[in-house]
Amino acid sequence: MAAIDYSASGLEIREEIGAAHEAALDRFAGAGSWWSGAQRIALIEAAREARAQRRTPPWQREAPSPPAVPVPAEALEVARTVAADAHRVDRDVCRGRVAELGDAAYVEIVALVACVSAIDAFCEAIGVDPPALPEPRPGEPDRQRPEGVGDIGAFVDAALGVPGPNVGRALSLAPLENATFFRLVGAMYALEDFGAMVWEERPLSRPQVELVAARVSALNECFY
Amino acid sequence: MLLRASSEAIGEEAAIEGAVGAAEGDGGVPSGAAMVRFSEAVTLSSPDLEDSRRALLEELGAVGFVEVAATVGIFNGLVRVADSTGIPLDEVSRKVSEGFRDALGLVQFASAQNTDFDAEPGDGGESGESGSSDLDAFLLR
Repeated sequence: MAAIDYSASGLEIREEIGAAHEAALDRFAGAGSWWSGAQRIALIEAAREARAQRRTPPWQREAPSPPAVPVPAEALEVARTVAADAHRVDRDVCRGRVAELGDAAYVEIVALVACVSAIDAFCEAIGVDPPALPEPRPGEPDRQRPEGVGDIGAFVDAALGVPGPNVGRALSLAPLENATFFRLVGAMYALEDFGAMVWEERPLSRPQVELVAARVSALNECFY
Repeated sequence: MLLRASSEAIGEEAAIEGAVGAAEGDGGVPSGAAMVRFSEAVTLSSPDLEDSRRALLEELGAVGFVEVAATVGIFNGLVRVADSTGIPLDEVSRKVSEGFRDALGLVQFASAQNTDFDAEPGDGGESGESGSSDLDAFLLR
Protein backbone atom coordinates (compact mmCIF):
# COMPACT_ATOMS: atom_id res chain seq x y z
CA MET A 1 0.00 0.00 0.00
CA ALA A 2 1.48 3.33 -1.04
CA ALA A 3 1.94 5.85 1.76
CA ILE A 4 0.16 9.16 1.40
CA ASP A 5 2.29 12.19 2.09
CA TYR A 6 0.47 15.32 3.20
CA SER A 7 3.63 17.01 4.47
CA ALA A 8 3.39 19.68 1.76
CA SER A 9 0.54 21.16 3.79
CA GLY A 10 2.93 21.95 6.63
CA LEU A 11 0.32 20.50 8.96
CA GLU A 12 0.43 17.49 11.21
CA ILE A 13 -2.30 15.21 9.95
CA ARG A 14 -3.64 12.63 12.38
CA GLU A 15 -2.28 9.18 11.57
CA GLU A 16 -5.80 7.77 11.56
CA ILE A 17 -6.78 10.07 8.70
CA GLY A 18 -3.78 9.18 6.56
CA ALA A 19 -4.29 5.47 7.20
CA ALA A 20 -7.95 5.61 6.23
CA HIS A 21 -7.09 7.49 3.04
CA GLU A 22 -4.40 4.94 2.17
CA ALA A 23 -6.81 2.08 2.79
CA ALA A 24 -9.40 3.66 0.53
CA LEU A 25 -6.90 4.18 -2.29
CA ASP A 26 -5.74 0.60 -1.94
CA ARG A 27 -9.32 -0.63 -2.08
CA PHE A 28 -9.99 1.43 -5.23
CA ALA A 29 -7.33 -0.55 -7.12
CA GLY A 30 -8.78 -4.01 -6.58
CA ALA A 31 -11.81 -5.58 -8.21
CA GLY A 32 -15.13 -4.86 -6.56
CA SER A 33 -18.31 -6.87 -6.82
CA TRP A 34 -19.35 -5.36 -10.15
CA TRP A 35 -16.39 -3.49 -11.58
CA SER A 36 -12.78 -4.51 -12.19
CA GLY A 37 -9.90 -2.60 -10.62
CA ALA A 38 -9.15 -0.89 -13.92
CA GLN A 39 -12.80 0.10 -14.38
CA ARG A 40 -12.98 1.42 -10.82
CA ILE A 41 -9.94 3.61 -11.38
CA ALA A 42 -11.45 4.87 -14.64
CA LEU A 43 -14.73 5.66 -12.86
CA ILE A 44 -12.87 7.55 -10.14
CA GLU A 45 -10.89 9.49 -12.73
CA ALA A 46 -14.16 10.47 -14.39
CA ALA A 47 -15.54 11.54 -11.02
CA ARG A 48 -12.48 13.65 -10.25
CA GLU A 49 -12.68 15.36 -13.62
CA ALA A 50 -16.38 16.12 -13.12
CA ARG A 51 -16.04 17.28 -9.53
CA ALA A 52 -13.35 19.75 -10.57
CA GLN A 53 -16.04 21.43 -12.70
CA ARG A 54 -18.80 21.29 -10.09
CA ARG A 55 -19.21 25.06 -10.00
CA THR A 56 -19.46 25.31 -13.78
CA PRO A 57 -22.96 25.03 -15.27
CA PRO A 58 -23.37 21.61 -16.93
CA TRP A 59 -23.71 23.10 -20.39
CA GLN A 60 -20.40 24.95 -20.05
CA ARG A 61 -18.30 22.04 -18.83
CA GLU A 62 -15.49 20.58 -20.89
CA ALA A 63 -16.15 17.35 -22.72
CA PRO A 64 -15.13 14.40 -20.53
CA SER A 65 -11.95 12.51 -21.27
CA PRO A 66 -12.36 8.99 -22.63
CA PRO A 67 -11.65 6.25 -20.07
CA ALA A 68 -8.43 4.25 -20.26
CA VAL A 69 -10.35 0.98 -20.32
CA PRO A 70 -13.82 0.04 -21.56
CA VAL A 71 -16.48 1.22 -19.11
CA PRO A 72 -20.17 1.52 -19.98
CA ALA A 73 -21.12 5.10 -20.78
CA GLU A 74 -23.99 4.87 -18.28
CA ALA A 75 -21.57 3.98 -15.48
CA LEU A 76 -19.30 6.90 -16.32
CA GLU A 77 -22.32 9.17 -16.32
CA VAL A 78 -23.27 7.98 -12.84
CA ALA A 79 -19.75 8.74 -11.60
CA ARG A 80 -19.84 12.23 -13.10
CA THR A 81 -23.33 13.01 -11.83
CA VAL A 82 -22.64 11.88 -8.27
CA ALA A 83 -19.38 13.83 -8.25
CA ALA A 84 -20.70 17.12 -9.61
CA ASP A 85 -24.50 17.12 -9.38
CA ALA A 86 -25.59 14.66 -6.70
CA HIS A 87 -28.33 17.04 -5.55
CA ARG A 88 -29.99 16.57 -8.94
CA VAL A 89 -30.37 12.81 -8.55
CA ASP A 90 -34.02 11.97 -8.02
CA ARG A 91 -35.90 8.69 -7.94
CA ASP A 92 -36.45 8.65 -11.71
CA VAL A 93 -32.82 9.39 -12.51
CA CYS A 94 -31.63 6.72 -10.11
CA ARG A 95 -34.10 4.10 -11.27
CA GLY A 96 -33.12 4.72 -14.89
CA ARG A 97 -29.45 4.11 -14.09
CA VAL A 98 -30.26 1.11 -11.92
CA ALA A 99 -32.26 -0.40 -14.78
CA GLU A 100 -29.20 -0.05 -17.01
CA LEU A 101 -26.48 -1.14 -14.59
CA GLY A 102 -28.10 -3.05 -11.74
CA ASP A 103 -28.67 -1.64 -8.28
CA ALA A 104 -25.54 -3.01 -6.60
CA ALA A 105 -23.32 -1.89 -9.49
CA TYR A 106 -24.84 1.59 -9.16
CA VAL A 107 -24.22 1.68 -5.41
CA GLU A 108 -20.61 0.55 -5.87
CA ILE A 109 -20.01 3.58 -8.09
CA VAL A 110 -21.70 5.91 -5.59
CA ALA A 111 -19.44 4.57 -2.85
CA LEU A 112 -16.27 5.03 -4.91
CA VAL A 113 -17.21 8.61 -5.75
CA ALA A 114 -18.14 9.39 -2.15
CA CYS A 115 -14.78 8.11 -0.91
CA VAL A 116 -12.68 10.00 -3.44
CA SER A 117 -14.76 13.17 -2.98
CA ALA A 118 -14.12 13.08 0.77
CA ILE A 119 -10.38 12.60 0.26
CA ASP A 120 -10.09 15.24 -2.44
CA ALA A 121 -12.14 17.82 -0.53
CA PHE A 122 -9.86 17.27 2.47
CA CYS A 123 -6.82 17.85 0.25
CA GLU A 124 -8.33 21.04 -1.13
CA ALA A 125 -8.98 22.16 2.42
CA ILE A 126 -5.41 21.65 3.59
CA GLY A 127 -3.97 23.00 0.33
CA VAL A 128 -2.28 19.98 -1.23
CA ASP A 129 -2.79 18.08 -4.46
CA PRO A 130 -5.02 15.02 -4.13
CA PRO A 131 -3.13 11.74 -3.94
CA ALA A 132 -2.32 9.94 -7.18
CA LEU A 133 -4.56 6.98 -7.92
CA PRO A 134 -2.95 3.56 -7.64
CA GLU A 135 -2.30 1.18 -10.49
CA PRO A 136 -5.27 -1.17 -10.81
CA ARG A 137 -4.79 -4.77 -9.73
CA PRO A 138 -5.93 -7.70 -11.85
CA GLY A 139 -8.98 -9.67 -10.82
CA GLU A 140 -12.58 -10.14 -11.74
CA PRO A 141 -15.67 -8.79 -9.94
CA ASP A 142 -17.32 -11.47 -7.80
CA ARG A 143 -20.87 -10.38 -8.77
CA GLN A 144 -22.16 -11.05 -5.28
CA ARG A 145 -25.28 -9.17 -4.25
CA PRO A 146 -25.65 -9.17 -0.47
CA GLU A 147 -28.63 -10.76 1.21
CA GLY A 148 -30.77 -9.20 3.90
CA VAL A 149 -31.48 -6.02 1.96
CA GLY A 150 -34.85 -4.55 1.08
CA ASP A 151 -36.91 -1.42 0.73
CA ILE A 152 -36.35 1.24 3.39
CA GLY A 153 -37.96 3.98 1.33
CA ALA A 154 -34.71 4.94 -0.44
CA PHE A 155 -34.00 4.81 -4.19
CA VAL A 156 -32.09 1.56 -3.69
CA ASP A 157 -32.39 -1.37 -1.31
CA ALA A 158 -30.49 -1.27 1.96
CA ALA A 159 -29.87 -3.56 4.91
CA LEU A 160 -33.01 -4.33 6.88
CA GLY A 161 -33.24 -4.35 10.64
CA VAL A 162 -30.13 -2.23 11.15
CA PRO A 163 -30.40 0.42 13.86
CA GLY A 164 -28.90 3.86 13.42
CA PRO A 165 -29.12 6.67 10.92
CA ASN A 166 -30.13 5.65 7.40
CA VAL A 167 -26.89 6.95 5.93
CA GLY A 168 -25.12 4.12 7.73
CA ARG A 169 -26.87 1.57 5.56
CA ALA A 170 -27.30 3.53 2.34
CA LEU A 171 -24.38 1.68 0.75
CA SER A 172 -25.42 -1.77 1.99
CA LEU A 173 -25.47 -3.16 -1.55
CA ALA A 174 -21.70 -2.65 -1.67
CA PRO A 175 -20.61 -3.88 1.76
CA LEU A 176 -16.85 -3.66 1.26
CA GLU A 177 -17.11 -0.14 -0.10
CA ASN A 178 -19.43 0.75 2.77
CA ALA A 179 -16.78 -0.42 5.23
CA THR A 180 -14.13 1.62 3.40
CA PHE A 181 -16.31 4.71 3.44
CA PHE A 182 -17.17 4.37 7.11
CA ARG A 183 -13.53 3.97 8.01
CA LEU A 184 -13.14 7.42 6.45
CA VAL A 185 -16.15 8.64 8.44
CA GLY A 186 -14.62 7.35 11.66
CA ALA A 187 -11.25 8.95 10.98
CA MET A 188 -12.52 12.27 9.66
CA TYR A 189 -15.67 12.78 11.76
CA ALA A 190 -17.06 10.30 14.28
CA LEU A 191 -18.15 6.72 14.70
CA GLU A 192 -17.61 5.42 18.22
CA ASP A 193 -18.35 8.80 19.73
CA PHE A 194 -21.13 9.66 17.32
CA GLY A 195 -23.80 9.33 19.99
CA ALA A 196 -21.95 11.55 22.47
CA MET A 197 -23.12 15.14 22.31
CA VAL A 198 -20.19 16.37 24.38
CA TRP A 199 -16.67 15.74 23.04
CA GLU A 200 -14.27 16.54 25.84
CA GLU A 201 -11.12 14.94 24.46
CA ARG A 202 -11.20 16.42 20.99
CA PRO A 203 -9.70 19.65 19.63
CA LEU A 204 -13.10 21.02 18.59
CA SER A 205 -16.39 20.89 20.45
CA ARG A 206 -19.25 18.87 18.99
CA PRO A 207 -21.24 22.02 18.11
CA GLN A 208 -18.24 23.41 16.21
CA VAL A 209 -17.99 20.23 14.12
CA GLU A 210 -21.75 20.08 13.56
CA LEU A 211 -21.79 23.70 12.42
CA VAL A 212 -19.30 22.82 9.68
CA ALA A 213 -21.27 19.67 8.83
CA ALA A 214 -24.53 21.58 8.55
CA ARG A 215 -23.00 24.29 6.37
CA VAL A 216 -21.40 21.80 3.97
CA SER A 217 -24.66 19.86 3.72
CA ALA A 218 -26.66 23.01 3.01
CA LEU A 219 -24.19 24.19 0.37
CA ASN A 220 -24.61 20.84 -1.35
CA GLU A 221 -28.39 21.26 -1.08
CA CYS A 222 -28.54 18.00 0.84
CA PHE A 223 -31.74 17.77 2.87
CA TYR A 224 -30.75 14.59 4.70
CA MET B 1 -30.29 18.61 14.54
CA LEU B 2 -26.97 17.45 15.95
CA LEU B 3 -25.83 21.06 16.09
CA ARG B 4 -28.81 21.93 18.22
CA ALA B 5 -28.61 18.82 20.42
CA SER B 6 -24.88 19.11 21.05
CA SER B 7 -25.15 22.82 21.83
CA GLU B 8 -27.92 22.21 24.33
CA ALA B 9 -25.83 19.47 25.91
CA ILE B 10 -23.19 22.04 26.87
CA GLY B 11 -25.69 24.70 27.84
CA GLU B 12 -25.35 26.81 24.72
CA GLU B 13 -27.79 27.79 22.04
CA ALA B 14 -26.77 27.31 18.43
CA ALA B 15 -28.22 29.48 15.69
CA ILE B 16 -29.09 27.01 12.99
CA GLU B 17 -30.00 29.85 10.61
CA GLY B 18 -26.31 30.72 10.42
CA ALA B 19 -25.38 27.11 9.82
CA VAL B 20 -27.61 26.65 6.80
CA GLY B 21 -26.94 30.05 5.32
CA ALA B 22 -30.35 31.54 6.08
CA ALA B 23 -28.60 34.26 8.06
CA GLU B 24 -25.18 35.77 8.53
CA GLY B 25 -23.28 34.95 11.68
CA ASP B 26 -21.26 32.41 13.56
CA GLY B 27 -23.99 29.88 14.20
CA GLY B 28 -23.67 30.64 17.88
CA VAL B 29 -20.47 28.63 18.35
CA PRO B 30 -16.89 29.78 18.98
CA SER B 31 -14.98 30.57 15.76
CA GLY B 32 -18.15 29.79 13.86
CA ALA B 33 -17.85 32.62 11.35
CA ALA B 34 -14.31 31.64 10.31
CA MET B 35 -15.27 27.97 10.07
CA VAL B 36 -18.34 28.72 7.95
CA ARG B 37 -16.33 30.99 5.65
CA PHE B 38 -13.69 28.30 5.14
CA SER B 39 -16.26 25.51 4.66
CA GLU B 40 -17.93 27.58 1.95
CA ALA B 41 -14.65 28.34 0.23
CA VAL B 42 -13.66 24.67 0.03
CA THR B 43 -17.07 23.33 -0.94
CA LEU B 44 -17.70 26.00 -3.55
CA SER B 45 -14.08 26.09 -4.75
CA SER B 46 -14.11 29.84 -4.28
CA PRO B 47 -11.25 32.32 -4.76
CA ASP B 48 -11.52 33.02 -1.02
CA LEU B 49 -10.03 29.61 -0.18
CA GLU B 50 -6.50 30.76 0.53
CA ASP B 51 -7.49 33.77 2.62
CA SER B 52 -10.14 31.87 4.55
CA ARG B 53 -7.65 29.05 5.22
CA ARG B 54 -5.11 31.51 6.60
CA ALA B 55 -7.73 33.20 8.76
CA LEU B 56 -9.01 29.93 10.18
CA LEU B 57 -5.51 28.64 10.88
CA GLU B 58 -4.77 31.83 12.75
CA GLU B 59 -7.98 31.59 14.74
CA LEU B 60 -8.02 27.89 15.60
CA GLY B 61 -4.41 26.80 15.33
CA ALA B 62 -3.19 23.85 13.26
CA VAL B 63 -4.79 21.05 15.26
CA GLY B 64 -8.27 22.52 15.22
CA PHE B 65 -7.88 23.53 11.59
CA VAL B 66 -7.17 19.94 10.53
CA GLU B 67 -10.38 18.84 12.27
CA VAL B 68 -12.39 21.39 10.30
CA ALA B 69 -10.71 20.26 7.07
CA ALA B 70 -11.54 16.64 7.87
CA THR B 71 -15.17 17.49 8.58
CA VAL B 72 -15.51 19.46 5.37
CA GLY B 73 -13.96 16.55 3.49
CA ILE B 74 -16.10 13.76 4.86
CA PHE B 75 -19.35 15.69 4.56
CA ASN B 76 -18.59 16.28 0.91
CA GLY B 77 -18.69 12.48 0.71
CA LEU B 78 -21.68 11.92 2.98
CA VAL B 79 -23.95 14.28 1.05
CA ARG B 80 -23.21 12.35 -2.15
CA VAL B 81 -24.16 9.08 -0.49
CA ALA B 82 -27.40 10.51 0.90
CA ASP B 83 -28.52 12.23 -2.29
CA SER B 84 -27.52 9.49 -4.72
CA THR B 85 -29.21 6.70 -2.77
CA GLY B 86 -32.25 8.78 -1.84
CA ILE B 87 -32.35 7.76 1.79
CA PRO B 88 -35.27 9.30 3.66
CA LEU B 89 -34.75 11.32 6.79
CA ASP B 90 -34.62 9.11 9.87
CA GLU B 91 -37.90 8.97 11.71
CA VAL B 92 -36.89 10.99 14.71
CA SER B 93 -34.92 13.53 12.69
CA ARG B 94 -38.13 14.07 10.80
CA LYS B 95 -39.91 14.95 14.01
CA VAL B 96 -37.11 17.06 15.42
CA SER B 97 -36.81 19.12 12.23
CA GLU B 98 -40.53 19.96 12.13
CA GLY B 99 -39.91 23.22 13.93
CA PHE B 100 -37.42 24.69 11.49
CA ARG B 101 -37.19 22.90 8.15
CA ASP B 102 -39.93 25.02 6.53
CA ALA B 103 -38.79 28.28 8.07
CA LEU B 104 -35.23 27.77 6.89
CA GLY B 105 -36.24 26.74 3.39
CA LEU B 106 -34.72 23.27 3.71
CA VAL B 107 -37.78 21.71 2.13
CA GLN B 108 -36.89 23.58 -1.07
CA PHE B 109 -33.93 21.25 -1.58
CA ALA B 110 -34.80 18.66 -4.22
CA SER B 111 -33.72 15.84 -1.92
CA ALA B 112 -36.43 16.82 0.58
CA GLN B 113 -38.75 14.83 -1.69
CA ASN B 114 -37.01 11.66 -0.51
CA THR B 115 -38.81 11.93 2.82
CA ASP B 116 -42.52 11.37 3.34
CA PHE B 117 -43.33 13.92 6.03
CA ASP B 118 -46.82 12.54 6.48
CA ALA B 119 -45.69 8.98 7.13
CA GLU B 120 -46.78 7.40 10.38
CA PRO B 121 -44.07 6.59 12.96
CA GLY B 122 -42.21 3.43 12.04
CA ASP B 123 -43.12 3.77 8.40
CA GLY B 124 -39.65 4.30 6.96
CA GLY B 125 -40.56 2.84 3.60
CA GLU B 126 -42.70 0.26 1.94
CA SER B 127 -41.12 -2.32 4.18
CA GLY B 128 -42.08 -0.39 7.29
CA GLU B 129 -38.43 -0.06 8.25
CA SER B 130 -37.58 2.70 10.65
CA GLY B 131 -34.34 4.60 11.13
CA SER B 132 -34.57 4.89 14.87
CA SER B 133 -31.57 4.48 17.12
CA ASP B 134 -30.16 5.29 20.51
CA LEU B 135 -29.04 8.58 19.05
CA ASP B 136 -32.57 9.32 18.01
CA ALA B 137 -33.74 8.59 21.52
CA PHE B 138 -31.23 11.11 22.82
CA LEU B 139 -32.32 13.76 20.38
CA LEU B 140 -35.91 13.41 21.49
CA ARG B 141 -35.18 14.00 25.13
